[in-house]
Amino acid sequence: MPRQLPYPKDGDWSFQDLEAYHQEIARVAAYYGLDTYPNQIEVVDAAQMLEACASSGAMPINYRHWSFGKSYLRDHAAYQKGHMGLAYEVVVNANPCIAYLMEDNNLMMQALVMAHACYGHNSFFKGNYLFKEYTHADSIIEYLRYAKEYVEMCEERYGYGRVERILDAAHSLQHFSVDRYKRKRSLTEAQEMERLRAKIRDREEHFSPLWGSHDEAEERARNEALARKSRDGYLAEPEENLLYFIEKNAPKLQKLEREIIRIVRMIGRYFYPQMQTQVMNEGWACFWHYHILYHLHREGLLGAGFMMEFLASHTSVVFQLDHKDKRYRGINPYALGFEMFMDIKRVCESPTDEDRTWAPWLAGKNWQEMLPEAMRNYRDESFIRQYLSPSLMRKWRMFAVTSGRSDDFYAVDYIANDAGYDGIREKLADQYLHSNRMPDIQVVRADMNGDRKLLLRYTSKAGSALERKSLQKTLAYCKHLWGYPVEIERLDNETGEIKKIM
Amino acid sequence: MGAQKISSIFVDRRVGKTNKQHGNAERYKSRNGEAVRRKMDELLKDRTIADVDAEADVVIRPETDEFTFVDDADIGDKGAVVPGNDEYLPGDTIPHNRRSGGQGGSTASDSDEGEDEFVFRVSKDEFQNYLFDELELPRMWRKMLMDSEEYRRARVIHAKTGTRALMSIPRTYMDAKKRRIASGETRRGREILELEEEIAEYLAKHGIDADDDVLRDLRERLEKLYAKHAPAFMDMDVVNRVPLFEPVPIAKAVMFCIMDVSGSMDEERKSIAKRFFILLYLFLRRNYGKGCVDVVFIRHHTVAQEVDEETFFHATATGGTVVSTALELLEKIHDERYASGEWNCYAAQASDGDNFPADSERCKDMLLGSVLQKLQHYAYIEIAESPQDLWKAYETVYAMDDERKFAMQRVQKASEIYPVFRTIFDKKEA
Repeated sequence: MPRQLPYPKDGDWSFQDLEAYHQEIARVAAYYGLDTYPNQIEVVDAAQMLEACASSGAMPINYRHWSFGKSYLRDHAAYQKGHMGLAYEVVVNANPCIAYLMEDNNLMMQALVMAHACYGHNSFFKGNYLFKEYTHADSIIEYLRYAKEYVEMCEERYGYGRVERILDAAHSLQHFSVDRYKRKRSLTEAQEMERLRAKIRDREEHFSPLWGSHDEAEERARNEALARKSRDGYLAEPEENLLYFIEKNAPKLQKLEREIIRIVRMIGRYFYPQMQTQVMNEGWACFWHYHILYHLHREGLLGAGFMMEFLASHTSVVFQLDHKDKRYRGINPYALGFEMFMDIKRVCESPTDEDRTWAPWLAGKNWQEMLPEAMRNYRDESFIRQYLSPSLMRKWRMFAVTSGRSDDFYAVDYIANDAGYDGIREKLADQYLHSNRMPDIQVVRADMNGDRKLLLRYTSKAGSALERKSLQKTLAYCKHLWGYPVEIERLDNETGEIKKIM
Repeated sequence: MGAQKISSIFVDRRVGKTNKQHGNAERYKSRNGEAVRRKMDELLKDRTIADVDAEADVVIRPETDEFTFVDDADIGDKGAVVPGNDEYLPGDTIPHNRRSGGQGGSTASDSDEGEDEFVFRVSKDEFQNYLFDELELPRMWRKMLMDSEEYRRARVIHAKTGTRALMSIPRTYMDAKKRRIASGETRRGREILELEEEIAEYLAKHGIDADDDVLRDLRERLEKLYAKHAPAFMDMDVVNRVPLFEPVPIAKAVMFCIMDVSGSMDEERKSIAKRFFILLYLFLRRNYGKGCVDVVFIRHHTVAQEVDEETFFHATATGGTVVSTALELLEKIHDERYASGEWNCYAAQASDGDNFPADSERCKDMLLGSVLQKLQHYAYIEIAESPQDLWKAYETVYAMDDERKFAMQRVQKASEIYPVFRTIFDKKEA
């Protein structure tokens, strides 16, 4: 019988304890074959945790912008008033993978966070196809360092206000800065960093008292390239990556403004996979903290006291409220993800007849192979489409509703029964489709030899419309970047009608 | 177990606070500077003046300032997959308000209301900045050179002193050329060139290895010239452009604070008067610095005394009222200490306006006769509900004061102090 890990009653911890726990957790993670980046575990206090959460996506380093200060102030006030607990865990998709432990947490929480973040999320970052495609963990921190330095250089040279206006405008389009459908060959962060490093080194390139001079040859080349891809100003292929289009084609931007837009675009791209894999990522991490700690319990390393406390935390994290509860705010991604991975394991280990007909490719297989396979090759939407089982739908008593355009009623379309499984699954998957969470907006026209207007097209689904005030403001930002008027039209997906909306 | 060490690094970040977000938070605050200022104005209305020397927390609700394209939550299908069905069959309908939370429960049209509330901490300094922003002592002239700590660049001279960074290249070149001509350097330079040429020719004629007396003589002469030869530029040539500074005259001011402490001033009125003077005192200290502004505290009932700060604000005294005694004392102190013409003199008087009957007339005469001439500005605060004796007398002063040196205001409540203070010292009014 191995000796139990130390677990003091008051939950106080020392760095030796952390080391001891980490050793065991890492051993079990390796036993289950979790492939991770090396870990860098940072112990921080509450104030630092708040600071970390404020910078977009908890990046340990970032350029200066008031919006980060704003979210910091908001969190700070909420935390002081006791309205908000602190984030359990902050983990950065980087190599080494940076995870924060908060000093006030007890030893059980530290172990939970280590298993959850340092092995759960970490292996997800390393394994999932979206992360592999869109992010480069090796160089992101270095890249951000250079981005920060670059923005600082611009601020020094051209003033804080001018840089801020570009950043404000670029931020408003940050969610529209990813190539979702067609793939472009893009540089990795390491290459991007090289670019920036060269630019910082070669400050002369930007040294012009007139904020970068106007380069006519470059402009002509830009316009010709655009003209080749379009007819009468209409693009042969609409462009969904708004920031990319603006960075490449805006007629009035100066070199270094383009460079700042590019930085915002790179960071937007870096976070794109996280937005697409919330359910999977959290589910995967919960699955593994649960399994790793249970494994240690079975080995006798963790006592009942620890497990009782652990289960209290664990169940509150993966708890799903019913829709009738006052606190219901939609589906809890931790809960859905955790249940789905647990369900995949169940189908593998002890499939029912129903599972065999529904998922013959999964039933009875080795879960230790099938689970990583699911983690690697899916995102929330496709994961749900592929793996949401009838038994889980029944267990959660899911049902699907639609609301008409003007009536005051929801109509129940499907419930969890034979006739409804497919409908619920499709509908839930659609809910996680990125394009259903963000409005679909593309650049369709930019006539550089004509009026130079930029025309955007919003494709509405099921009668949806854009919120007016934010539309107005965001268009103003677009115009600031583009330098000429920007218009937007609405294409109704059902009727095919196109109408200018602003 | 334990044999293989797994690579991990624990880093204790708790030491050495960084406060990374401070700069960003400050930027957000200054972005909302206008709103903070407006809120401060509101706060100041009911703020007891005793707190002005402290920090303040300002809570504002900034306007929404982050935008992107979003779907309107009120339009289009708000359907969803929802957990926890215990009663519905396909085809059932649910009224919108049955589902709490969720996408449809409450309308999301709060975009006009702006952001959540934000708490901005305003430091003592910033607070007083707001408090005294755009205020100044009227007609303050810079009169004195003595004790001045401020200098301005007057002109530039050419001099041999100063650092190399200030070097004037044309003047240095000119000096170097003069030196070279004077020391025969130009002639020597010519000779060197000629000799070198001669040697080269000689070698060309007699072969590169030639070595005879003629050549040796030529070389010796050349060496001698070399030894005397000096470089084109020497330290002694350097001329610098040295800026000269001259002291800037400083403004010195004295403020006479006259407070009525007679029996008719009840506790509330006294406290209003005191608050006014505290505000004035802080304003002077802040905007003009301790060295530049003297404050003379005069309190009076039937007699006037000059007192120190502590006594003025905290001690109590009482009696009848003869205002002119204070004006006499003011004049006396002025003539003794501040008559040299270097001083900008100001006076502020607070009273309930209740005066010994014939005295108000006398005050008026004194002010118009001599006192106002000696001052840049005179402010009178009457703490009373309706115009009193003194107010009526002063109205004549106000009317006859052609130079607009005289200001008078009535205050009834503590909350009016700050607005009144602002009207008196507002830059635009001056």
